[in-house]
Amino acid sequence: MTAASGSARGGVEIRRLHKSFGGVRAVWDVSFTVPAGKTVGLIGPNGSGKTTLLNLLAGYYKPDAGEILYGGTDLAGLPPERIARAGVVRTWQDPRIVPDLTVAENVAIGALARGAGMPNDAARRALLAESGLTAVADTPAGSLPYGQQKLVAIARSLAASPAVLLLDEPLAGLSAFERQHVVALIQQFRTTGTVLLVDHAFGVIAQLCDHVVVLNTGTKLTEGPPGVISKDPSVIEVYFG
Amino acid sequence: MIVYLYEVVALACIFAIASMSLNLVLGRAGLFSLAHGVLLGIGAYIYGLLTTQAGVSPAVGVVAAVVGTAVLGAALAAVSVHLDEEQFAVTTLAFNLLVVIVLTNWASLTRGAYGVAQIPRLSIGDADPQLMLLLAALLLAALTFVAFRALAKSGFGQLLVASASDPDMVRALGGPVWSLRVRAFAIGSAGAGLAGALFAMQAGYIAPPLFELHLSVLILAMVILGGTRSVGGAVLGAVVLIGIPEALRFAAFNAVSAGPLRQIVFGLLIIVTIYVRLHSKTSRA
Ligand SMILES: Nc1ncnc2c1ncn2[C@@H]1O[C@H](COP(=O)(O)OP(=O)(O)OP(=O)(O)O)[C@@H](O)[C@H]1O
Ligand SMILES: [Mg+2]
Repeated sequence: MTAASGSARGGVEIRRLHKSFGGVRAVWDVSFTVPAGKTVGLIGPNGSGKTTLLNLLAGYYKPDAGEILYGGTDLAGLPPERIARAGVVRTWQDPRIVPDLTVAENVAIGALARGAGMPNDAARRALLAESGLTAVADTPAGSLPYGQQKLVAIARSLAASPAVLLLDEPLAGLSAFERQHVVALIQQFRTTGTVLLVDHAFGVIAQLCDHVVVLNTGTKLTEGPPGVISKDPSVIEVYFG
Repeated sequence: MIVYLYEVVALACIFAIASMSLNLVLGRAGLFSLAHGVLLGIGAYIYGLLTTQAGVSPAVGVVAAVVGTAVLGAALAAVSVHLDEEQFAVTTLAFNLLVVIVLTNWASLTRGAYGVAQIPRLSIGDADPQLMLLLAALLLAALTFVAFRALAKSGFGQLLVASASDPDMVRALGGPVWSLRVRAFAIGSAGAGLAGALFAMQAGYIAPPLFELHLSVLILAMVILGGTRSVGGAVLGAVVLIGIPEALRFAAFNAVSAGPLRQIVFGLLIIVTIYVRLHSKTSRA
């Protein structure tokens, strides 16, 4: 694996990415960079291509054209497991937990899947505590409310010790209390890692992100610092309006 | 009478080994295999042919049956675990039919429909061979239980469950789903091979019809009866489904080996198995 300098392990450069479904241009000629160690927000109206972009980055879809440069290699079209093992790990809008496994077992999947073996007890407990899941560690994950299931999913992605975390609407459907945990987890992760954060909660995007990219109908509308984006008339028209 | 009891208990142990190994494949990896009975048959034939035709010792024959069946199982899994559940079931069903045809028709190797007779048992000195076989089967069933319990609870077992529930999620976290499944199927096949070698010893004579589809369905029924999530349940399923026909035999229905009662019980098993499988699928979705 290619290691970048310092504690931040890797940035991702997206170049002229395209993906269509039949006639639908889900992602069309999108370019931007998620610099190593930075947190970049990805916003846009429903159906603007945010999830499709994450699916391309994570290898779930193969791009029609374009490059995804990460540590000197092009990830475009690589299988998901290769991308994850290179350090780029995603979450989904849905929790996608394993209902029959306990919370602790679900979280361990993150470490087990990439071949890191069973996480040691101290690391496991620390992660569960930070996620606010200690009390439910031995509960089957399927019996938890939706918001807590999403916390499990985020803890699971962190257990994979990613360099780059791709988060698809981690805050959607969460209570204020659960949101605090998610925000704290992201805040802690971004001290050492790189984040691409998709969400509709602009307040949190502004709080966490160094930079914001705005998608609209599959194309990049604009990008810039959160303070500038929130006042941009074109963004206000398609997104805040 | 006591020899008969030894025989039944040994048979229950042998099928417990088979059902515990299928439990890993079905209950953990979520692979609905209809080939487990014929994999057991492959183990029985490897053991039977090596010991009777090639002068191999029983101990070496058992090891060869375990390894050989695992390799064949891995080959079958390698070309089929990427399929969806229905396609996988049909592929393993086809494998079962195919192997029985090969066993029947490749007579120069397998002795065809005549089968393999006078299969030797493990023996130490001049101890009662049936008692020896019973003790060996008990010991191996206990070891299999410990091993498959440990596997089920291991990280590997957890990954199998996760891969059965949501393979794309596991892949997105770096998990090699295809190879996890192939490994699980190969380990399950090794268990079937071990059961097969012991079965050949117990029966003394094997022929292709023993390993037709009904045997796979019987082992599936043992796993499902015991609850697919528990290794102990698989043992219970084996004990019940071996014990009931033997009890029926004592109740003077002398029809266990070929008669209509057995056919009826078998038919009911298939219906129950499929019903339970479909029901557990829809209740999880
Ligand atoms: N697998 C698919 N097949 C066909 N069309 C798809 C597929 N995935 C996405 N699309 C289409 O691509 C477009 C972008 O969808 P996408 O899910 O990426 O949007 P999004 O920005 O994530 O929206 P939301 O905020 O609602 O999650 C939509 O028009 C969607 O219908
Ligand atoms: Mg989306």
